[in-house]
Amino acid sequence: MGLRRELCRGCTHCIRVCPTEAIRVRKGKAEVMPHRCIQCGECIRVCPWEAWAAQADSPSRIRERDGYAWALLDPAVFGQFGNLTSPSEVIQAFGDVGFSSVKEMEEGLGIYGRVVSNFLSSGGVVLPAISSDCPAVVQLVQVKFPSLIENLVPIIPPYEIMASRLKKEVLENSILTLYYVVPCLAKAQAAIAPLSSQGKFTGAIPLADLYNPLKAALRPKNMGNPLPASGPNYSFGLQWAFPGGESKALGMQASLIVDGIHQVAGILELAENGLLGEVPFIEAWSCPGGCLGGSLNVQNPFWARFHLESWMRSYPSSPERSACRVNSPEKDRYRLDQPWTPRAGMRLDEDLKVAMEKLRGIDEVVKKLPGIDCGSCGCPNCLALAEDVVQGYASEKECVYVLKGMKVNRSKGKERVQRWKR
Amino acid sequence: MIGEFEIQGQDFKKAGEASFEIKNRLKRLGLPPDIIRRVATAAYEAELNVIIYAQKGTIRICLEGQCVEVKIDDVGPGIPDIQLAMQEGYTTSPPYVKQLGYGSGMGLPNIKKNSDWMEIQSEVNRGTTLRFKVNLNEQKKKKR
Repeated sequence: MGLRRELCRGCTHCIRVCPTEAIRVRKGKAEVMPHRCIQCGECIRVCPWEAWAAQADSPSRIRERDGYAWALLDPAVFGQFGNLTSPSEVIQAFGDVGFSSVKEMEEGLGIYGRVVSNFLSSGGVVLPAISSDCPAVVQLVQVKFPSLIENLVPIIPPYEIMASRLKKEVLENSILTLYYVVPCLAKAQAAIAPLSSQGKFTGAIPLADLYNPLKAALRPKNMGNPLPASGPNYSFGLQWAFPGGESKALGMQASLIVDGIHQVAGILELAENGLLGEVPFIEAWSCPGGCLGGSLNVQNPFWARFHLESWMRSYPSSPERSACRVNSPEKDRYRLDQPWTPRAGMRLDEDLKVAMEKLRGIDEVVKKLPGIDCGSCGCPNCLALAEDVVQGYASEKECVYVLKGMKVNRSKGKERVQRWKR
Repeated sequence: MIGEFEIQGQDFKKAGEASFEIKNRLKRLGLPPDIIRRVATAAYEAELNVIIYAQKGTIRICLEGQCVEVKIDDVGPGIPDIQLAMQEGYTTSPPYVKQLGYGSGMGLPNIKKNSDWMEIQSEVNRGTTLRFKVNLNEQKKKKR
């Protein structure tokens, strides 16, 4: 997550949408608290000035590595080019932006699906199991719902499976580089800082940065340097790009499918209180519309889904059942050896006594604030300002009401109770 | 004291708000995830009991030495037979409450299950005081 400071106007759009309240505007510019950021990309989506940028590689890097750059395409890529362009044509067009070979995710998704199904049908799974496919959802659990970490499915994600396989195939040749073409920030981050040692990419490139040259190459007779036609053989991998696709590919009888990070947080809240009853599996996506809704994509996610679904109809859905059986080396190889750890994103202090004092301090400060959550102080709401005051990051005087000594307008009789919404 | 919350009887729309806030406060304190989950689950059940049966009530939550203590006072009908009320599946909730999906007779047993110590004092037609504790250093693993 990077801010292009010169573009930021300190407008406070981003601080309000952040699901972990990780952003503040200080001295007229936005700032991220890295220990809270979950890479969901909500700030990118909402910023009117395009000041937030993904920390990813620029396409010019590919040209420098001319002829030796490989790309792995996220399924969401295929939804971006309209229903007149087939997935295999999209793959061919990547030759024109400097890649020497392109893979799609079908193989990795197939393996992932088998290993996850196998895991879910084994004993001792903590229910509801939560899909760990979306890296932003995993980080949300680590920061805000640490008690649900044991519910995350401990299998390394499909793109890392692909990276490890491609490395074995070709990357022993040290000249070659492997890039992941990503729809979102979280996957870009996951590509360079993977969970498993084998899953590392050379870098990640946002689809949006390649869109124009690809679109140009895809015009009739325009392709200068087409790659050999290849592409997915089945539709199960493509449907992974939108909500419900994963559950379908896993053959889940029942699953709770949720998209959009705030809705995901709502569901996890229920799960944490044990209110989800018999739900066996939660398929959760940070972006509205699943990966097609990724903040580094180009098309409207629903329009993209329409394109993708029209292509999916021309493929058989999935390989024969017999080819789906998981073998035991596979099962173990892709099991996550080190489970996720909680991140202390919401904690006020390491020392419980100090944290208690700070909590009391916040209750005192918040009484002086107007409770209108205007955002002028640069915090998402009054409670967050109170928290920052107690932590020593801000002063009460940042509040225009406090500064001007204005009367706080409270409803008669009962004081408005300030509550943490996030 | 970690927090104090007023609860109105019959206010089903706000069911869960107090325990949600309790959970958020415990997270701010950085307590172990398992402790937070247990306190929040038990507090939610207690909050619902007040909403279903009582006119009004107060939840107070504090940190006492090495445990989280929650105390719920309510003004309401009281519990005539506490032993009976502790039985799983036993409930006196009216049908409209069941229609809302609450009152399945699991409230008190669930509080007991999620806490390390629990006590009920009740006076019929006056009200009930429920207290429960969760020990910080005793991390029981419990299946949901």
